Amino acid sequence: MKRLVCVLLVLMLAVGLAPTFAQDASTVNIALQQEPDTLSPLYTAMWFAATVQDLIHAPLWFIDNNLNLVPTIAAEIPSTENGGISADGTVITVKLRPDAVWSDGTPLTAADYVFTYDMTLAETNTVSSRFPYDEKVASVVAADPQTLVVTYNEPYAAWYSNLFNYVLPAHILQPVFDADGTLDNADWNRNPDVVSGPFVLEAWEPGSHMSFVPNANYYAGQAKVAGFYVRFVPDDATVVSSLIAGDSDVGTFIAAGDTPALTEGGNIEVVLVPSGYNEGWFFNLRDSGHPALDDVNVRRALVMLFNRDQINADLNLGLVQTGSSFWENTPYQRPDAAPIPYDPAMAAQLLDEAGWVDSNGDGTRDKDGVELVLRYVTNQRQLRKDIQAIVQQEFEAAGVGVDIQNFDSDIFFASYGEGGPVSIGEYDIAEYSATSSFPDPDSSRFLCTQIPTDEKPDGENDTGLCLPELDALFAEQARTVDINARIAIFHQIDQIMFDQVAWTNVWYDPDLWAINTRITNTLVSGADPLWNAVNWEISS
Amino acid sequence: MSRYIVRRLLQAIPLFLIVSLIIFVLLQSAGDPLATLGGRTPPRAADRERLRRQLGLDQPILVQYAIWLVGNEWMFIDENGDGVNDPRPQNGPTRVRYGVLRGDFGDSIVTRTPAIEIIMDRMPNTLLLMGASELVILSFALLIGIISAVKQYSMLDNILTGTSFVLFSMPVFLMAFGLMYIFAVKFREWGLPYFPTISNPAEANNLLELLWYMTLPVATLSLISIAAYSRYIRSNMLEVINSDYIRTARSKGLTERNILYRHAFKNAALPLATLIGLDIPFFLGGAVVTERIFAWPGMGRLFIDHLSRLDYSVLMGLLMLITVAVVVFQLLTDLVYTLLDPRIRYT
Amino acid sequence: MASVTASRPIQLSTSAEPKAQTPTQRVIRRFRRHKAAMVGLFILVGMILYVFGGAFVYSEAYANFNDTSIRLQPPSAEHPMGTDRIGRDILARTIYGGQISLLIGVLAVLVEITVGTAVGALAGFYGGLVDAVLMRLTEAMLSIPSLLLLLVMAKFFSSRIPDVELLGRTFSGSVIVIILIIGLTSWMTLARIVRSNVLSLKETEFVLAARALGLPNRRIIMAHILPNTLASIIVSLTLGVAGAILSEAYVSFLGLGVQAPTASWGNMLTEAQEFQIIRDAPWYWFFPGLLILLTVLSINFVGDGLRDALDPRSDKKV
Repeated sequence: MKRLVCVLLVLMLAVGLAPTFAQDASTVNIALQQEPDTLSPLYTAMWFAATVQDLIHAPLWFIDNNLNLVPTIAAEIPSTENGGISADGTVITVKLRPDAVWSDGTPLTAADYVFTYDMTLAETNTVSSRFPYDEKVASVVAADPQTLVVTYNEPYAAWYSNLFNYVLPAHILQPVFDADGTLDNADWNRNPDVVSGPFVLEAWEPGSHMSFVPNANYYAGQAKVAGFYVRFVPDDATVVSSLIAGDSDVGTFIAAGDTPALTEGGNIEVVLVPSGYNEGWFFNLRDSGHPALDDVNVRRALVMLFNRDQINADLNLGLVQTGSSFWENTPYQRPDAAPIPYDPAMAAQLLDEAGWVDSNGDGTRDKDGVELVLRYVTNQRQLRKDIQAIVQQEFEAAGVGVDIQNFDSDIFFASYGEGGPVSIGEYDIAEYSATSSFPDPDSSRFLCTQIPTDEKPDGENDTGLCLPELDALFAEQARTVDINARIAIFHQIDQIMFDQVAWTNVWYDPDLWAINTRITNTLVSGADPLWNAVNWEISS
Repeated sequence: MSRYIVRRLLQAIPLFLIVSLIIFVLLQSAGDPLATLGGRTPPRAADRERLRRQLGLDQPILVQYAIWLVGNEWMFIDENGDGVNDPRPQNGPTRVRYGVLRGDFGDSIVTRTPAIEIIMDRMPNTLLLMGASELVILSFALLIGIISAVKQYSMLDNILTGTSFVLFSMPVFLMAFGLMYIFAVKFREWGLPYFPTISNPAEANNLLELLWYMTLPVATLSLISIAAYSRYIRSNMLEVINSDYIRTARSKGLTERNILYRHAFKNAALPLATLIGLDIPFFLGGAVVTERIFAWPGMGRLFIDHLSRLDYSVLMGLLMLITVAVVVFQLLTDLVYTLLDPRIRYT
Repeated sequence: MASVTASRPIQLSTSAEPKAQTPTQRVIRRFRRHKAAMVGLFILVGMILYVFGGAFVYSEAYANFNDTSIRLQPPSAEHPMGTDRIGRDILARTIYGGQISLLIGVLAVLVEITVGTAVGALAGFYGGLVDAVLMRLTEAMLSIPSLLLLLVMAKFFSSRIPDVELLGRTFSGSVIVIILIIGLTSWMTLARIVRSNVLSLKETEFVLAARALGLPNRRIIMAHILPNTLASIIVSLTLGVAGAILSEAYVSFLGLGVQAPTASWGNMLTEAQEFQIIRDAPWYWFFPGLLILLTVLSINFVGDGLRDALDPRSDKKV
């Protein structure tokens, strides 16, 4: 009994001395579901890593929340008027800010960009992506310390979206490369002590947090907050708890269902950030797909059976809407676009007309002895599982059997060589969220030449849609540097895509950010989320 | 005895090979480590094919296993990822692998840094969490186990048994979210001393704060596990208490306290020692669910994070470290066993 | 330290019962005296009636019927346990989910018991090479934390097993996967407990006596050693069923559990782990959670009662 009293006393003492966990009020606390794999822009394909890297690695230009280009290291945005884009559209000349310096004070020059280009293509570097430098770029030359000349193989309309959105410090990394023969194991990848962005890394505690403090040598304005404190919180419910408790100021990938709980207190705002993503259905038109899917009217009928508005109203709480384009809410979407309506009666009629009727009385439509049973695959995301169940019920009522399958993302998205179900075509309907090379509308997802086969295992056209006229239009837009002409081509592309119903928009899928109202001036962009972190402020 | 130890250690060698081969094959066949590279959509397929060659993932599984085990100096390397094996460059090859037998666990596919460093970064956090929980669990389990054995079927036994059973029967994530919601979210709202939602030991400035950060995860782990131990202790205590020699001791007129602690407890502790000895190496595995919910930067989270990207170097490294620890602790447990129970003979 | 040179009681010494009773009658009598066990048995029977009898009240089609316009509705006359995230009836889903959870618990432990007892008894009794081989195997399995091994295996097998027909229902193949991997990753502790008991027991007088009488090894194991390790096996079994049902929930929580459209208590609970649902739709997690809790609890109580009842030395009256 005495011991029990002692224990109780100690406990009471502990409660009395409880630390208050007042977060450092002058820093912004961010909760991310995943930890960045690296801080070297060369070695990551992670959204979370790229987002954090906005703080420390400056691009030539940021893409702001309205998708305008904001010159950062570039002194101005290259254009035909200022001579930045050559007459034939193949040469881009970028003028760099003369005052641009690395965080250690060393001038940041065009030579750093040439080094970055070389490192991206170096055979001994296992970089995550060489695009666009391997496929599109012919050369990168430093004409003088402030002039960078990039020559493309042919006019490349999307140049602005992926040209040097990071730069490596040659004076730090060249010696490392010379010594090791690779940058793979460079210390800088995890501890980038010399950077080009508005903040510098203060500490990275693996599995726990990263902290960033302002870069005193930053040339494009001084940060107004004392720093960023980024914590890695894998569980969504914990992220929401920490936002509500005030332990975090900023959270991303908020489930639509959690928004009421976040906003009801009045101190958290949920922001919808367009990121180019659209949740969509990919029909498998290849031989591996169900024969019924070869008929465009069957595909259209299936979409008519899918009550997308109901899902968006009930499961997405009306936060997102059904779209009709792969380029939803962008200028590239055809005008007057409207989704295929929900119309089970019309769907039944289309299926009947296509010859898919229940001839053997088993409740499922069939034709030539083939039952209309479709494999509907997606990954493990709960919302998608919910939709699968809803669709299964709706389809079965209309005589279309549905076989539901779920895969982990690393199986679902596995490549052709690894037997990924989407890639090799072991599906009839696949659901996931996809984007063009946002903010650029270019995409190779629907090209004949990109259908994955044994000869072309790196193909990206999982639907197998193959229309020579569509390929020609895609090729033409990619060369069309004039924006209005390009938009006109995209309107044609979008119309063809809509008519073909190889892919259909389930909802326009902006990212949901939750931001505490004590943080102001947060203009989150879908392309470069933290692009204006230097201007974020904390209201007292 | 020393011959016994040497023999056991020798026997552990095939064990490592079997365990590592099985796990390696399972992991390598479970999916595509380059499926998304952690991104929201798959990267360009051309980049994936190049990386597959550069990182050696295109090799047959057994070749990859051999590289993991003994290194890659014996074979040609495809340095430039062009699909053709190059002769090894003379001026210091890049990415020479020495193999796990020479202490090189390989590089993580996720971070490109040595797997062993990634693991060692998390080790202290996990040992802290698991050690603290084990202490709490053992203290309470001993208390409850002995009380409910000595006072079998009493009201106290029923209450303790009932409560610990209810807690034991609860899924850990319900417990974790419940504790977080009440003590981190609601207590803060009510103006009471509250706990943080994110339990991050790296943020603690002093011991008290560290304890404070640890409270919710440790409480979660402890509450659900006390019953597992206390039932075991109770069983053993009952067995001993009802045995002849305790009856003999009692008939000799020894005090109840003396009987309980000098004789009964010592004998009941024997199987318990086994149980603890077997449990300790698993501290290294961390607590997957609890660490995930409280964002505790431990090994369990490391495992599940890297499993989602099939980062086999880290996963293998982690599992092999645990295997080593298990072998060592099993040997120790056996040795302790022979010391405690002279009836067991090893030759 | 080892001052107590305990000799294990010989069974004959406890036979001083007032009335002549068969051992089975004694066990039943002692079990019925164990209140918690009787309560547990009562709940357990109720639970079995609930999940198998309930199937006659609600069809599986009804359990899967969704209507998003009535999602997350609190319990009402029409939906006594409320509705879930896409408007399915939670009561009906707990019935069909319960079948899966109980099936997983029982079958996984059956696998565990079979393998664990066999390995432990053989290794302990025969010693030597058999012991060495079996214990290496046990160590190999033991040297990987079971949840981690479970996750690796779940990932390996995920979506490789086609759907199966059983008891007139179509199950996602993941159910079989979960049963096997839970069973095959949990037998080792039991094997070691059995082995260490066997090691101690085989030095005792009655086994030495049996051996001296020239009884064959198989009979010594079956007739003398196994019954004497029953208490350990049962403690392990009860915790095992609990563990299997909970393991399924954990694996579900980590995204690798029983796959849709098959419901289990574990994946129902997991579906409810969204902040808004935890807070505003407590019925969603409360009912599956309560059912898991009650089932696991009652099995534990029953096992506890069995342990006391089966142990010849626990009779206080003597």
